[in-house]
Amino acid sequence: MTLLTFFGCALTAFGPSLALFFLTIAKDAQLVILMISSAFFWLISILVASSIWFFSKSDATENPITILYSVLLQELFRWFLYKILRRAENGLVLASANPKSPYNVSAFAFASGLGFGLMNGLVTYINPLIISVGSGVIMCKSCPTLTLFFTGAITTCLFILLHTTWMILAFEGFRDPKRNYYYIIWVVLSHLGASYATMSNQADIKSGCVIGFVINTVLLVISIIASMRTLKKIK
Amino acid sequence: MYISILLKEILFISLFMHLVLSQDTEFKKVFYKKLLPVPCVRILNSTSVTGCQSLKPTSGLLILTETQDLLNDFIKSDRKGKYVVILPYELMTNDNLRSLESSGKMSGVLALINGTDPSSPNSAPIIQRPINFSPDEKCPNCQFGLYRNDESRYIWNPNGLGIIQERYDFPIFALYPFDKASNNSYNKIINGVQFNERRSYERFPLKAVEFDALMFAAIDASTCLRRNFCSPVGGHSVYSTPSIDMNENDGKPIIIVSAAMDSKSLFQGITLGLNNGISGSIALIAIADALSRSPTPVKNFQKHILFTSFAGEPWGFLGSQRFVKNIFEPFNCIQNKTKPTQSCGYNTGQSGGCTFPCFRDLDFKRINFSNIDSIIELSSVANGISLGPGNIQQFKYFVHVDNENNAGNRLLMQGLGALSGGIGVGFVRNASEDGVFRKLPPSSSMAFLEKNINIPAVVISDFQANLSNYYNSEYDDGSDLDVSTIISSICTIANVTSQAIWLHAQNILSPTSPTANTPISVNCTLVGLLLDCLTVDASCSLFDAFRRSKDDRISHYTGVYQQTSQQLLSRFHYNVLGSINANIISDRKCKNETDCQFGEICTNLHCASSFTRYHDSYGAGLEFIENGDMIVVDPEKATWVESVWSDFDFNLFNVTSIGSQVSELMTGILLTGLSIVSVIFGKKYVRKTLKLD
Repeated sequence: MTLLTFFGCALTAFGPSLALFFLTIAKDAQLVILMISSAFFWLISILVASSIWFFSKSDATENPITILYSVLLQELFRWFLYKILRRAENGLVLASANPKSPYNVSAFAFASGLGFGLMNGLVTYINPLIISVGSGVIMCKSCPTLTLFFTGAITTCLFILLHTTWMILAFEGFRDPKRNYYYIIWVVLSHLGASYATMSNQADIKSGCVIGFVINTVLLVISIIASMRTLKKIK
Repeated sequence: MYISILLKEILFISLFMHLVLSQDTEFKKVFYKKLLPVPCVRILNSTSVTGCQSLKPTSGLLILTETQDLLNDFIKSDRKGKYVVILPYELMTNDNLRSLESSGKMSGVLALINGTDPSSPNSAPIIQRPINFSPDEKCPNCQFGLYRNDESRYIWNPNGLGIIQERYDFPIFALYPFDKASNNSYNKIINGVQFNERRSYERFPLKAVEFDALMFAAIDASTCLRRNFCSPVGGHSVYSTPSIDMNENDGKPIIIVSAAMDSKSLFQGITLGLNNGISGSIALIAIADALSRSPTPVKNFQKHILFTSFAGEPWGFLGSQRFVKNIFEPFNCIQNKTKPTQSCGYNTGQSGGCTFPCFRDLDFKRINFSNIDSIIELSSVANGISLGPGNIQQFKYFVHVDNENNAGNRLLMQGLGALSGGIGVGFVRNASEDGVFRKLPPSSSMAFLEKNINIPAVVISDFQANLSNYYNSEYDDGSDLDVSTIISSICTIANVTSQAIWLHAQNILSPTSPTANTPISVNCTLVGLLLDCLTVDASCSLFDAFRRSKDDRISHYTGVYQQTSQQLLSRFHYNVLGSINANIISDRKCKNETDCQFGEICTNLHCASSFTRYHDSYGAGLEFIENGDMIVVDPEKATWVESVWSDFDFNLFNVTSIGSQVSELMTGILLTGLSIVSVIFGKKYVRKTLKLD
């Protein structure tokens, strides 16, 4: 009945990231495969996290703890992904459209980040999105004029983009951990910060969801600027 | 190479998505609060379609129209959207339902049958219980009765709304709090409608409910049976007699003591039928118990006494018509395979039955129709006490007959009158004492009289001119009466009737028979226990022998006929009558008949020698054919079939306004459009700053 809500939320959540995908990555088969592989890595990380949650259900159902270990696990798998890509990097560069470009590795990071983010968005948001086709809604506790479908859509949209930038920054940090360690610290801390900020949606704070969106948007802007800086440094 | 890897990845992702989607229903519960559905279902016969249907799930905002004026206002209003209308049961007339349907604003109806304001549990009910309320027809089952061709037949139920016989192509559910689950649903609905009222139906989100009650049935009984989308309405009648040696050729007259075991109302799940159904069957059991304590065993009397408890009587006298048909017509067993087959699930070799026509046993042949001496039928008898002059409680029951000039009828009427304190002055009176002769009310006796109009038959009831106030309604639950009054009413009439039967079975019933000569009396404690068992206390010990779950409410709705599985009420009567009328109850424990010796039955978990049997009950116009399918053979007779349905869904949830949904869509479109533009410009910017061009 509320196909309006469905399309509205689907476009809000996945519109920006799909625009990125179709206008940048889609043309390059190599990048598409990279993207899907990184999505697979995100899936493994969440599989481990959910197993921990499942088996320790009795005492660790608290959201802050769940967020802590699932964020750390995602970062761990980001590092695993980097390690594997590092081994394949030479081959990948050779097989790329423009083997001599210095930006190939950055493009790999971007594609992997988008894959990581999109899978994250799909897994966390697809269930609410499907249910949004029905007529029933739940209102967001902190913003009673918005539905949970819509606040979820905005969070999903921001997180996909955040993951994309985090991947670029993290790869930069992993490449030279001694000099660029602050990138890694930023990625982990801002990931934790962004995740905890989403808790304001269901908190008793007035307009809490807006606070969460603002924090996430600020983190996203900082990360985009930082990513641009890393690109400019490559020569 | 890329393509094949890509395909594999896509396959993997689609598998994963499938897993995610299968979790969907668990998650849905967060958004949709499940409520207990008490639906009205679709029932068909050969000529008509009745009951409710919703071809697709429908939903609407909750609205309560407490009075006729509020309802009229709602129908006339220019509200937008769809509403689920909570209608006090009293306002559920066909006219109101039709105007709601044609208003185009109604997607379903919730019948508010009783209940208080959940915010203050001790307050008065939201709606007043009407004094008269019957959803049944003005002349119930008259088209299937003895007087169906009689132009001037008496209208027994003048207050009947006739909504049971109407066809509604929208869902109607009942709100009737009686236990934890139904109270919970009721409270959620009433809280929801109060929430909407506080928000004046303007400030969204508002509370809405969704119904899903798809009925598979269509067209008529015959089509529906052929398509396998219907099951015959019916069950198993029970007959029982202390005369264990009764046979066709013993020449002994038979007194039939009869009652209907079940009831009917618009909403199956909450049908109770305390007066119309339960009271008569309790009286029947109490009489059987009283007679079983006779100093001379009643099986040695000149006449047999046969107790019949008929199933499905509210549906065109299914039980009595089927029983009479089987004992009246000569029986030919066409095929007997002695083993259970696909079309006949009985082990007919063991019990002496027949594979086609399918009968577990042929013991009904031992009842010779031409030996029937008289019929004594107990109709509704719970309300025989009224306040007379000076607020003194007085008992009054009425005897209905088809023909007052029939000598047998006269004897029974006068005998009952005399035993109750004197002909014309005692508490059992002729129904025609007010000078109006109405013949028989809708009753099982009609089936017998159909075959032989001269059989003496009396129908004993607490009503004289009109059927009870709550005939076949959900309000027939006894809450308007005091329990001790009900017990005393049933016990009093059962007592007199048992004495009359005791005398009549020895051929010594006379208009002057003094009470002192009858050494039997009814056990009122047993009446109380039976009433408790069949109405409020589902954990009653009389159910121990067969009841699986103890906490669900016993519905007294007829249900559907299933060949080898008997419904709760049938099993109750079988076990109770079976042990009362047993000649010997052994110590041997049993779970069912196969644990006992040949000829014995298993009653109350013990093997007993007792002539107590089930008898099939389904429409007299329906028959099974050899392959086990059922067909309509006589569309004039009762051919009721009930639709098959998938699970009912009844959910409560919040909805938002169309305006906010449109703004969500616009946000999505704008955001996506902006993103496309910024990606295009962003790419140019990146290329420029990184000097890629």
